[in-house]
Amino acid sequence: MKRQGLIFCLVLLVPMAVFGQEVLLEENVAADTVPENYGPNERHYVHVYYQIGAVVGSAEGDSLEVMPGLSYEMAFGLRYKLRVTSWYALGLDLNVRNTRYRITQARNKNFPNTDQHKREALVDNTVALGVYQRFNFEKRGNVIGTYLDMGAYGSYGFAARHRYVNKLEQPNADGAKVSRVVNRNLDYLNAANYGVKARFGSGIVALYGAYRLSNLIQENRGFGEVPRMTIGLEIGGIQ
Amino acid sequence: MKIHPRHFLTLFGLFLVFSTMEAVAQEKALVRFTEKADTGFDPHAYFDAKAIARRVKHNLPLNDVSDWPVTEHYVAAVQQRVDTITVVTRWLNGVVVRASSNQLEAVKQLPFVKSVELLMPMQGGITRDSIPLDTAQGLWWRTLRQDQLAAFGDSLFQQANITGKGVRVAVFDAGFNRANYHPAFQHIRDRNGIIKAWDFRKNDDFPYRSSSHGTMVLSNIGGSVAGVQLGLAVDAEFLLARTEVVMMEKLREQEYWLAAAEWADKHGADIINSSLGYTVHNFFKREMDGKTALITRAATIAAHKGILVVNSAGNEGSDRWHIIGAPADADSVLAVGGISPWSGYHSGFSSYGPTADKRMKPNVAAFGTAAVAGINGLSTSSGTSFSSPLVAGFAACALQAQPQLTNMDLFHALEKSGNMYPYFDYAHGYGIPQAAYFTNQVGMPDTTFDFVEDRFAISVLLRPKWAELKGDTAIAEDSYEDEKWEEEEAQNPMNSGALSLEFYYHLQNPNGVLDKYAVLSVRQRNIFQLRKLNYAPGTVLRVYYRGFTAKYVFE
Repeated sequence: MKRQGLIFCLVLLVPMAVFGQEVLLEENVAADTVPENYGPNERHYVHVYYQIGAVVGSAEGDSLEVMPGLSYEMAFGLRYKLRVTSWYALGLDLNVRNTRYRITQARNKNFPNTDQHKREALVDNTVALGVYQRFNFEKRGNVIGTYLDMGAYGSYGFAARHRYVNKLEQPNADGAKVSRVVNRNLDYLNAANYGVKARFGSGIVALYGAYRLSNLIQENRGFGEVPRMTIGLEIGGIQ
Repeated sequence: MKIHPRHFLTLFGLFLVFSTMEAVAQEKALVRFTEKADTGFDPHAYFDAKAIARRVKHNLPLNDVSDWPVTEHYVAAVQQRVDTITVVTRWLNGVVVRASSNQLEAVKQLPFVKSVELLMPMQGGITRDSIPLDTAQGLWWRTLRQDQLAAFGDSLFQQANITGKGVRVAVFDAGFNRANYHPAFQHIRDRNGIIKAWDFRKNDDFPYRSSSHGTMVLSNIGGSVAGVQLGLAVDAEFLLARTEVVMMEKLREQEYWLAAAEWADKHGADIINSSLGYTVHNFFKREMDGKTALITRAATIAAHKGILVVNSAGNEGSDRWHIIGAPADADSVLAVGGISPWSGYHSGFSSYGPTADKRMKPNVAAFGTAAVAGINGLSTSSGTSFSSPLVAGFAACALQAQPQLTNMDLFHALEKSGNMYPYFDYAHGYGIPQAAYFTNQVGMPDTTFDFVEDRFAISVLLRPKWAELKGDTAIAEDSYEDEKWEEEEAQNPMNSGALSLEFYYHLQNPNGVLDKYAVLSVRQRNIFQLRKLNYAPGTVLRVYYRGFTAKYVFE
């Protein structure tokens, strides 16, 4: 065993004797001068992005209201761009999104029932695939530049939640004074949705807006509809 | 929700608006004319006396059509069809205009219009470097100040009283804030050494505003405080031009540079220093070919007029861009890379060559961190912005020492004076120019290494005298054996340990382009061994170590 260990150590040491010099600087020129076909303004480009936005506008119907400012979304995605000309490109967009609608506890609330709570929210988790076209506004080098994107998306909800919190004046049967409930497999939501999107950006920062054309809440349930529009900020394409 | 047709109309309307934006958007373009009218141009009335002298020295015609004024009614005709004319250029026989696509189409129809070329918006510009590190004039600052000039062998210039006298240097920069009263330039002001100054942005004669980048750059050409020099050319004459606009529209900078170059030519500049670089925001790497960028073409024309254009290599060495920018890509522009004062070799931020068409850049190098005179007094700053003026000041001294040199003679002499010449690479060029070359005091270097070859391989072996190793025993030798070396080693045993100076080598393919280059800190006398079969016939292995260069050609 000792002998095998010694041989093993010697095997590790042998390559070290070859490297007698410290390389301070080394350049392989052929690698530096390979023509590029990938980059922010080259033929192909892929980058990740992060979005954070606010739900804007009013809910539809008389029995559902959503709190502005406390209803928001976050998304993380991957975007591909195919440069067609110096000012036009096409692309695909894939993202995972978390959207939270904070339900107002109005007296006429009936979504999803008339119960009043301390806090209540509908959380929609989706995966979305979109297509877009991009218009750039300036001649530029190998950078993203200033642009306007317009496109459409389709999404699929995979983990919608209905959550609420109540503070109890008296402890419940479990001895708790605060009760949190999470409802899953919500039968009043449409899993598949679609809409349109636009972005206006420069470099790594963009403002975006999205408008859901389809209904998230099934029409025949009489609940109304949560706001369709979100606007927000995107950071992406950091190199 | 029901989809209403107005949704589609809105989207379609947006599409129409933005798809026509290119047609109505303002463009910057260079309009070139077919010819010039002979208006009886008198060069003696137009040019400064030094400009006349430069033309005579370089055997350039005094009455050259490129210097004739642009035909006035051509300019007037274009003016009627565009929004604005921003520059009238004699060298390019045209005008730079701001116009819509439709207006440019109308201009193209004029019978005397040769071409209409859209210009790129410029972003970036100054090789970003102004990081004041130390305003105290302590030992470290004094050592740096001394070393940045000693690296050129400046004592030889001092002994010969060579200080750039009689040489006129134009400096193009973003501003020369406080240079008009900074004590570092009092010696220049006292002798009226600033011949002309112009702000091309504001169109007045006061460039002492906005950025202090130019102030620091100027100090590394000819600044001096209490007799202590920050640059070599303390007795040179200067033309100061503000051509850059920080945080504003950058497209104009290219026009300003062109206008400033013509202005500098008119006022007798021998040398232009331009610590600028335009890269990824405006160009692709493949456009760094010495022909594409307008500023590169302007710099090339300036060189054809007999002016030595010295430009910083750029600070993109650590960035994705990595290589030199415009106008350093021009073949007749002396691109200057940055050397670390501490390591003695390439500063990591200094941009690399070659150009897109495989020409060697940078051409030479100097310290990439320098002691400067800035807005808050004396300080230090990093970037090839300061390598360039150090070399520009050296070039002014070299020209004083050998005034018969044309600009391109001076260009090639500066390369040949590099401390590593004929070794070169795409990080250091030929190294730091040396005063000994221009004062005829170049000595013969000692041979520090040998090539040792056998049938299959070529090795590089240090001579024992130059293997001044310190510390512990060196790592075990490789398996190469040579009775001669064993005998020498017995007579001069190594002390072993790390060597104190670096070892440079490159592999140049038969087309003259480097395939590979490296800098090593060597720890043994047998540096490396290359198998001959791995290299095509005509490949050159060139090595530099401690002042000695030699090459081996694979057969």
